[in-house]
Amino acid sequence: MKSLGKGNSDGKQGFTVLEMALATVTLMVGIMSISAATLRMHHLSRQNRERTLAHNAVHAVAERINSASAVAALAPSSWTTTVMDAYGPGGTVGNTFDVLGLTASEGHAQVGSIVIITDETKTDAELGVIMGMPRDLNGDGDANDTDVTGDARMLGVIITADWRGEGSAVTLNHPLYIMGY
Amino acid sequence: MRLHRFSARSRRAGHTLLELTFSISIYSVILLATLTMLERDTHLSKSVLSTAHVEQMAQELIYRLKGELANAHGSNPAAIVTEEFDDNDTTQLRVDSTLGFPSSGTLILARGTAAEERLTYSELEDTEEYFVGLERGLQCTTATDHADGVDLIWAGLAEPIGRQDNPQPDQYDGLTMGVLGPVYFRGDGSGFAYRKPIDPTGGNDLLQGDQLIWGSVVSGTANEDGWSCLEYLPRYEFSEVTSGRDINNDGDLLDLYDIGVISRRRWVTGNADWDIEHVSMGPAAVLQERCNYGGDMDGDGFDDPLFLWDKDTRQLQIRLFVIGGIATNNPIVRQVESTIFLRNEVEL
Repeated sequence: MKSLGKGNSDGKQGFTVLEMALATVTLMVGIMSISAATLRMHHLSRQNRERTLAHNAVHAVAERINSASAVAALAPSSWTTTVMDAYGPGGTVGNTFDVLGLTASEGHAQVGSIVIITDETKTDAELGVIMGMPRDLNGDGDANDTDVTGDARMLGVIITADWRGEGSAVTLNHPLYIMGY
Repeated sequence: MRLHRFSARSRRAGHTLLELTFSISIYSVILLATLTMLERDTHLSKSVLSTAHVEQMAQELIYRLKGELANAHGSNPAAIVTEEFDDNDTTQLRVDSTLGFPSSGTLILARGTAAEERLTYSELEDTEEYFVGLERGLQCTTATDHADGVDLIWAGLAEPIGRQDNPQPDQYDGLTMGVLGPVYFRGDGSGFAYRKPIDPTGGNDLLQGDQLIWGSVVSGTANEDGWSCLEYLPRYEFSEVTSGRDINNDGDLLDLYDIGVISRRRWVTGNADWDIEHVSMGPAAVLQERCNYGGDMDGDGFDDPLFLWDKDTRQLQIRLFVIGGIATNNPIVRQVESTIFLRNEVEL
């Protein structure tokens, strides 16, 4: 075998087993670092994908609620009831939804949930979002009514996606208002 | 590597042949493992980058479509044949009105019947009664005689049919999965026609009295006769056989696809001399099965139209299958979908 270099103190050429072992270990450490970086990149890519799926789903639900609200507003007197009958608990569409590609986090049957706010006195802190609550929802000049189901002119809606992400549970909230006129 | 030999001339001990063989074996294993790891890393990196790129493309396309349609109102281009139409006639097709149909495109005649025919037209006649420059019997259909009174639609339009409870096969073109369950629809869903608020004087006043002025900005000029549409334009061919991938999960490698682009077209109706504007809304990466636009793309048993327009709720469902990684022979398909509520009333 051809000599590969100088290494021994006695003037003989070649690498010792120890030198080769050290070089191999260094090489392995380098390659494993690259692998770790690649896996991390893959992990971040998956996180990004999950967030995109959740964002699209939540936005699509918001658009469908806006659509249902606009159709229901053709009969303003029954607007709140119509919207609640569709997107409230037990409604025809329901107040939960699944998102293709996401798994619901622990304690949730489905990834998405919809909360329609009918209590004017709820604060942003209680709701966990920033949407300017408490607020007058029935146009009577105050924000004291705890149930505006019968005469609401606008309603707050919070659409939430809770999913089991890469390594941890992730929550995405999307607050919006719908108008009954 | 210097090999030491045990020799009587030297007091230094070298390596025996057995030790050497053992060492070489260990190094070989390590070297092979390293190379395998490197190859796997390279493959994974390419896959991750391709996937990220495809997802980015799909998402950008969705955002652009949302921006384009935010204040638009949709239309439902459909017409009725008003003059007998022979199977060899390629000059013109007379209908009650061509209003809302794109300046050129694909029509479906006698949809859902044995006489169903797909044909393309290259122009709309200025009287808004004729499709001209016809090419007959396309996309796996045959040119056929059609009687006065037959209905036709722009192939791009997909809309839910009125009767959703066990409709007859000739009443729908596909079945897709909606929010509340399966939805029967007609058309292939490869396009969507609409108009937007404009100021004909080129300013920012979109109102005439308390009404919005509708039209389109065509070649930089706001025109009340202007229309817009989104349409799918095929650019390349993609084959499951060549790629070795079952793209639509149907258990075979026989399917052929078009890879195309979502393009925005703007034109002025009733004036064929006006320049027609084409703008690509995203990359040429949108996948559709050839001869089956709007068909099942993910093997779930339901059709997947690109655009499904429900005029009653004014909801436009967009479902895109975007492909990437073809250059690295690692095709990846990503589905991106969203719903847009068009705030303004339907036109036709």
